Amino acid sequence: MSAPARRVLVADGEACVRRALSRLLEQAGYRVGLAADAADALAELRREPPDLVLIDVDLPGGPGLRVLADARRGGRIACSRVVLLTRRWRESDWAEAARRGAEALVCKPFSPADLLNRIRDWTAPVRSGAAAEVAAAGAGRPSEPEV
Amino acid sequence: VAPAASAGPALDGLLERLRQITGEWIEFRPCEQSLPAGRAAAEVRSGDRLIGHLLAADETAAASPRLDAAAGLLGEWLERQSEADALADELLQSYEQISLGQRLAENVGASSDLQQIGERLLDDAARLLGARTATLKLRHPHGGEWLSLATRASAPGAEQARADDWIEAPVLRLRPCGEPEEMGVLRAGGARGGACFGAYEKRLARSLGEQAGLLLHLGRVLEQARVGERARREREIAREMQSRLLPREDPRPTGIEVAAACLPSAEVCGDGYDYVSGPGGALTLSVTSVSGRGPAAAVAMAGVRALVRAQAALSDSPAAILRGANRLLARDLQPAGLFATVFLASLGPEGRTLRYASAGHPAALLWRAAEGRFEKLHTGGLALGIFDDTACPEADTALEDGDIAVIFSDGLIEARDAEGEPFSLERLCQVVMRHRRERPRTLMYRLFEAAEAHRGNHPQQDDLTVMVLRAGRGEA
Repeated sequence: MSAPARRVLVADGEACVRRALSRLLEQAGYRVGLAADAADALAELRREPPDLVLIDVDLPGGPGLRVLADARRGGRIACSRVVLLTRRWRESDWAEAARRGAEALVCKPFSPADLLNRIRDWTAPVRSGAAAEVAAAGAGRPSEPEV
Repeated sequence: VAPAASAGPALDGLLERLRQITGEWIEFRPCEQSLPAGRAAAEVRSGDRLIGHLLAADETAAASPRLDAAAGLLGEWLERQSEADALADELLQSYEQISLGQRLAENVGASSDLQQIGERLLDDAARLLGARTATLKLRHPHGGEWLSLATRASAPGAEQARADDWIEAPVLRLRPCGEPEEMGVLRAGGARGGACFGAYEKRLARSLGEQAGLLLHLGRVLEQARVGERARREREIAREMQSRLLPREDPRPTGIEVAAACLPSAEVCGDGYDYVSGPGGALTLSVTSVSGRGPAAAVAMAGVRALVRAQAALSDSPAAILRGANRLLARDLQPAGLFATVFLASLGPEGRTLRYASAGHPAALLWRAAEGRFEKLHTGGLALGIFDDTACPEADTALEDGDIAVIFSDGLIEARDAEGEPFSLERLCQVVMRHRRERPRTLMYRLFEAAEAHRGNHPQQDDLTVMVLRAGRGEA
């Protein structure tokens, strides 16, 4: 498989999920940062802003949505795309995630192969033709979402 | 157990700490790399397996307990890492299987057509494996023949993927006994980006093969159930159509009371009875039985009925009706190896004379009320459909008040119990004697009940038809 040296931050309270996603992504050629809680996640975002953040809705130390808002407020993940992970599908979570500009809310257990395919799309370099489309889609999103 | 692939940064951190603890400038060298000369080395083992060496800066640390202890710690740590990686891989595989199971279950819900299930399955397989083409071949359930169920190609020319660029997995299902059944094979070719399929894709293909086996087995079971349901509905329609061929109600001729019914042994029946008004004002009554059972007998029965009706509309003579019907029937029944027995009785307009003829049918029974004895209405003709032309002798008799005629198919007297003992003419006579004062309909039911009681739990082997006539009305 071709290996885009893109960086993905995996922020999840479950060690086995972190490890599994880390192996999946590294084998696909990604650089992976790991965070076990909200503080770790903010530190990692500060250290090196990733291309994509996979963050659990129920991250220990602060819900994923709050971490996302905190980081956005600090301008640390302005360029990162965000995907929320969850164990329980809640309509309200998805509405909130969409309002805050997340790409998707992915339910565990997810299909790793499907997720990897979607991650490839989310981390693909934006083509010039698609840039306008992304910009247009982004226009609807608050660049500095409320908490 | 291989050193953890993702252990890189963590391994660097651990080595740094070991350097601090041991005071040695140590370095890890995996097995596949050669050992440099002039440096002390300690084996790093994961369980019993040698996975590399911990090297000191020079030879001075040779046989140092600190270097050995550090190598032991590193070995244990790498083993834990490998275990954690194996667990992580298992988790990924379980996730994939669960989500695959959900998706495939949705497929079955959306379609129970095997071809469609196969196509959806291949779409999923090609997408999940990152393959440009995928094929599914199944073994024929009743033989070794292979059946190409579906082929999907997502890119033009993709089916010509390089010979070494294929991934293959058996389509398996677990039998209830726990033994796997190999139902076929799933193949995918042309990895995305021209690369080769990796270990992950191979594991995923195996998982897909197992899920496909379960799904296709379910599809087959559903298909069989559907075929069974269709056959059941067809039988129901046949029974419904056949029941319409029987008279809706019994006639009420002058001076005679009549009742008849037919008890099929299967959904469709080779027995029947009929009433037709003849040209001279006579009422023709018939009981017919076609050889064999099931649909073939039922279809032949419909033909016999139609021809006997047509002949009965032209003549009041039972012999003439049977002869005419046989001429037309023989051509159809002979090639099928079928024949039909018919007992035909023509009741005169005043209801006191009965002309009768039999084409191979059991003789009807006549209870002479005045004399208190039974008489057999026997004429001895051959069954219809055996010869191109056959003459059935005809006889007649006068009926007195209280006389009872019972016309029946052989299924009645030959109804057998578990020991093979037939119901017999004797038992039939006993039932008629016992219930001779009942009305014909009641007597008819008593006969059915007696035959059923005689049969016990032994299944009904043949169709059963009974027609009862009684001269005069009210008690004898």
